[in-house]
Amino acid sequence: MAVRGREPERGTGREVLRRAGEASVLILTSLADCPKHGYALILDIKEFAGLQLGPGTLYGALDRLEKLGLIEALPADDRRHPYRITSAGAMSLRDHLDSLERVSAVGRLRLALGGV
Amino acid sequence: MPRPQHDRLIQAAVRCYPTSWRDRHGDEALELAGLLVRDGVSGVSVAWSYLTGAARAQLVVRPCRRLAATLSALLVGVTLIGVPLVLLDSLTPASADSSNKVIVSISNRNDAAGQLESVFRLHHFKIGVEEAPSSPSQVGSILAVRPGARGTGENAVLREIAGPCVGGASGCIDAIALPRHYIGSAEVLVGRPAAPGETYFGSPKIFGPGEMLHCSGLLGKAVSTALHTLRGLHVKIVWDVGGSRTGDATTPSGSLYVVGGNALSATSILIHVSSKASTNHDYAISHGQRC
Repeated sequence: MAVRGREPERGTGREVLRRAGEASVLILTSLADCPKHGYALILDIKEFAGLQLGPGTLYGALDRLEKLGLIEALPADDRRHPYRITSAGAMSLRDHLDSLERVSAVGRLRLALGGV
Repeated sequence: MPRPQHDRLIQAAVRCYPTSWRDRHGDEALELAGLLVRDGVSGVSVAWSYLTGAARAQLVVRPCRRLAATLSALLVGVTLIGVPLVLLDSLTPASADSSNKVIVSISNRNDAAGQLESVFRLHHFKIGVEEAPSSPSQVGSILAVRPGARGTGENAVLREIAGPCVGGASGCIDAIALPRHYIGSAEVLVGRPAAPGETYFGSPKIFGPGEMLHCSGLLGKAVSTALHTLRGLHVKIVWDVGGSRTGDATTPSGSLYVVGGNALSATSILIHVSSKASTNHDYAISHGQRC
């Protein structure tokens, strides 16, 4: 699907996020509770996911998510641009997490790990 | 702050982005790089991450015309930076607490206070940071965590995490853990280099690693034997004989033994002496380390 300007792309939340990549899921999860700027996102993701997101990956994913209409930039605070999740972003994240949960349940069941 | 050569690499990598991207993110990207490097992330890996990000951004802007330029830039970047393959993946594992806690750790002892302050501010914690003169082994470590006077019960959940001291001793505090939504107040005291004559906070063991008399061989020696070496240090010596302290001028009996000591400042030390050359805690600290 072609991207024109900053017009949000359409598609189901799950599909959109699947294409957007793992970093996008991490960013949306981080933004789910409150708006954050780049450095705060990196620290938060490192804390809850144990992953050090590279700054290039971060900005790439932020641009992608913004084009998809899943996040929006807030007015800059000095040099820092905070972002917040949009309602479409929250819905996409919820769909994606539901999907992951189903995959996780099946995987655990087949590995006889229990907990489902 | 990034080292100058890393600074240049990062700036060069950011310049590879399209102009529109630089206008929007350029300043913030450089500031973010500085913060990450200060947190201990390699400047090279930050530059590499920007370079690969720039390559992707260029391909998105003008897929055909930019392809050759992007590949060239990548090739130049790899050659310049010499990044190990392990850095190709911008998602690298890091230590993280899976519970609902924030672990604030010091990765740069030269800027420990600044590092702690920025993280506390980021999380909106009401935790102040102060610096206190410390012995060389404790510079950049957390010397004390003082809960706020108006405790709410939340203060009790602050937890100190021990790590290595400068010089290799164990037991210095280089991180604290606290709940993500910590609402108490506290003050963290961080060690800084002491000025000559300035009293050290906490008077650390002087025979410990990183301290003045570590591996000096004086522990367990008779005062008469140790005296020459101690005088050669050109510091003020306070003697502690069975709990009673005497000044430099009153040297204890040469038949007593050196059994321990503390660093009081860069120019004064406390030496414990006893009639028995017992293997006490100081002895174990000193002899547990390779000299």
